[in-house]
Amino acid sequence: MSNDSDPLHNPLLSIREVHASAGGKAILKGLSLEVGPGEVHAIMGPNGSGKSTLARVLTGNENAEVTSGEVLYKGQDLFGLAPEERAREGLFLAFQYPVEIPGIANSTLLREGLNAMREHRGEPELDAIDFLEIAKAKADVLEMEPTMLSRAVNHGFSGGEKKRNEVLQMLVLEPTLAILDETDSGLDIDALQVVAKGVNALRDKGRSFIVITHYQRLLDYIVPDFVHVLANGRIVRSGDKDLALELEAKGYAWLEEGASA
Amino acid sequence: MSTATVQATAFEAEFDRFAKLTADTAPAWLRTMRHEAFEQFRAQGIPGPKHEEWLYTNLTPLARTALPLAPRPGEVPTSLAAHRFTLGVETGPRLVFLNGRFEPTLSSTSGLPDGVVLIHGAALRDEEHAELRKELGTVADTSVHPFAALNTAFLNDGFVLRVPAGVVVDEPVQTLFLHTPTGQPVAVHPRILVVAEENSQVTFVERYGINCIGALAGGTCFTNAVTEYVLGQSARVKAVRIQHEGTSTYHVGLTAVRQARDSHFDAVTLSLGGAIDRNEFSIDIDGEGAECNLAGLYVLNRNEHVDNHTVVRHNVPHGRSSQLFKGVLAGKSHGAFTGRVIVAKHAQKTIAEQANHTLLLSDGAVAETRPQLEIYADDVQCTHGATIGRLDEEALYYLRARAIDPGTARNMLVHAFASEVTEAAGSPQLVEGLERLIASRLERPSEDPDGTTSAFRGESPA
Ligand SMILES: Nc1ncnc2c1ncn2[C@@H]1O[C@H](COP(=O)(O)OP(=O)(O)OP(=O)(O)O)[C@@H](O)[C@H]1O
Ligand SMILES: [Mg+2]
Repeated sequence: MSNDSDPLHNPLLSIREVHASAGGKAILKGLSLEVGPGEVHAIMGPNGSGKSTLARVLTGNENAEVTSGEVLYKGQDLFGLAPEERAREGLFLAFQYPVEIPGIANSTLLREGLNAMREHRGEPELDAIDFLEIAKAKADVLEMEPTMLSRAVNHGFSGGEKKRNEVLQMLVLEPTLAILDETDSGLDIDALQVVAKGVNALRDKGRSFIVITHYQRLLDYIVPDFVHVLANGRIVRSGDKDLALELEAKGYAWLEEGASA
Repeated sequence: MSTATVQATAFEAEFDRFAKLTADTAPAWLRTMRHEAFEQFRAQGIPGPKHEEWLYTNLTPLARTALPLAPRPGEVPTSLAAHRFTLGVETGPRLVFLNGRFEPTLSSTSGLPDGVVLIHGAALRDEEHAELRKELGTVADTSVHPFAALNTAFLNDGFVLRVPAGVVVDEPVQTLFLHTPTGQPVAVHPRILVVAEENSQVTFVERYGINCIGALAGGTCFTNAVTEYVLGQSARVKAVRIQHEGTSTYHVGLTAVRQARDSHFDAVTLSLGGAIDRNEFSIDIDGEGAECNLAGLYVLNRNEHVDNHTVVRHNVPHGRSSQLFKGVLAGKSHGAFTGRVIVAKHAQKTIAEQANHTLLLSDGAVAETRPQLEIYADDVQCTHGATIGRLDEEALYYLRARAIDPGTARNMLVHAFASEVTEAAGSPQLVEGLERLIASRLERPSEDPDGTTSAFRGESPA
């Protein structure tokens, strides 16, 4: 329960009864969720249940149309902000399917993004040399070759490299609320640990994460405070990390039956 | 004369005037050449919109307008904002023409290796230089190119660059054709011959028009440029051609190329606006193993019109050619591409590819593409492809999700689209110079004399 008069207890993100559709089809059907500062929430759920749609709604992708409900982020109406304004306010999405952009260097994207964030915070622009130093250090944390910085954004990257690249962007932009949409899919076991290391390096009291995943395995490395099950456009069950183990053992059917009953 | 053309009466009086005016300075060979060319022009007329080769560009209004040669500039600027036209290459040879005339005070021929010959003006006309200019007029076919014929008819200044066998010219040779405001419609007929002899190498940059000496106020300009290239065996030529004359200019350019065995001709052409720009490449692959790569980019706004037209003739076996033309169209602009590849019957093992991709940034812009493959040989690989699309919305969203504002994101995507062409310029310095030009075109369209809107940023044009 949030207490509006006490900022210490205000959630960072408050999703209230959100309905959203895509391509004319209702996908989110009254979804509510609160994320407090410093918390890690895992969202699991069957294919097509609306997890990525939730991520799109939160980051302002026009393909997801909000039909009702509201979202407060840092106490302000999230839907009143353009995608880039949300990003500058510290919202970040690691895409389930990162977009390939031939012709734009990874480093260019990162530098433009970081400088836009810095400008928003009233900090001076970083020049190419200072920026590169930061980017290389972050790439190093993720055991990425520095040459990945000069390659075109995700262009020709392997599935795992794309996911790692999303995390690199997260480390450079240092978001307040990061949504990781199946960042673990397609990663080998070593890569998974490297990525988890990257995420954990960012974890602190002020920073929150929503981790969307199909695999309990990831949650051994990024230990969540809460686990939610999203089915048929709504959160149908919430619990602690043990819920993930239970889901691994039993699947989703037992929950969905309960939800639709 | 076919019905697809109109008589160019306006040019007749002007030609007579020109012939009288230059009677004393023109030697017999030049007078003959001009007269023959003018007859060829008269016989062909100005191609109208029904002419197969001129479907997209209508220059018949020229037939009615009296277009005197541009006058000598009243005032010669003492210096030019060098960085604005040297593409970042500050050193090396540079030739500046003002209103069609060579301007020695702004030019520099330093940096050319020994043996490289550069003649222009009176020296070019001189009887004793017959050997140096012997290829002049042998590549551009004036019997089928009316405007090339017109160019030859008015041939006076211009220049010949000759790179002797085995010589490598390290720094790009840059030329710049500028106009000063004249207050009336005028014509210029720039003429260039580049001869790269056996095993030689050179990069040659041609740039037409830039607004560093004031806008082209008060009058249309008709620029009718012909550049001929002759490549000896195994010669390597990089050609960069930039048309940036502004919206009151009609530009017709012909780049005619003849390639001997194993030679390489790589061209990058940039069209950055203009009322009408017709840019033609005519390539003859005459030697086995020769290779030609043409890359073109046109970035248009408002009512601008660019018509890129290529003809690549594979006359011998084992030749290779590629063409990549890309258009970025905003406002109500019009971008056309016609790419013809002719593979002669015995030109077996030819590899020819061609692609034309257009990015439409507005609903009012129109793109047209016309591949023409005439293949008479049976053992060849010839491909062509064309796409017309809009900015990738998912990519735009991805960039915005990384805090980048939509205007910057759009520009980044346009640059990304264009970079495949600019990268063909090879040297990082030239590539960077071209990218800067495109950036200023995209970000500050108001630098154009008539530019007022930011259609390139996705805002609706006025
Ligand atoms: N533009 C669209 N038109 C029609 N249906 C759409 C559109 N976009 C998404 N959907 C549908 O919405 C549903 C939810 O999609 P979403 O991507 O949110 O699922 P998800 O929970 O992320 O699934 P997964 O686990 O497979 O990634 C799916 O059935 C999908 O096909
Ligand atoms: Mg998904």
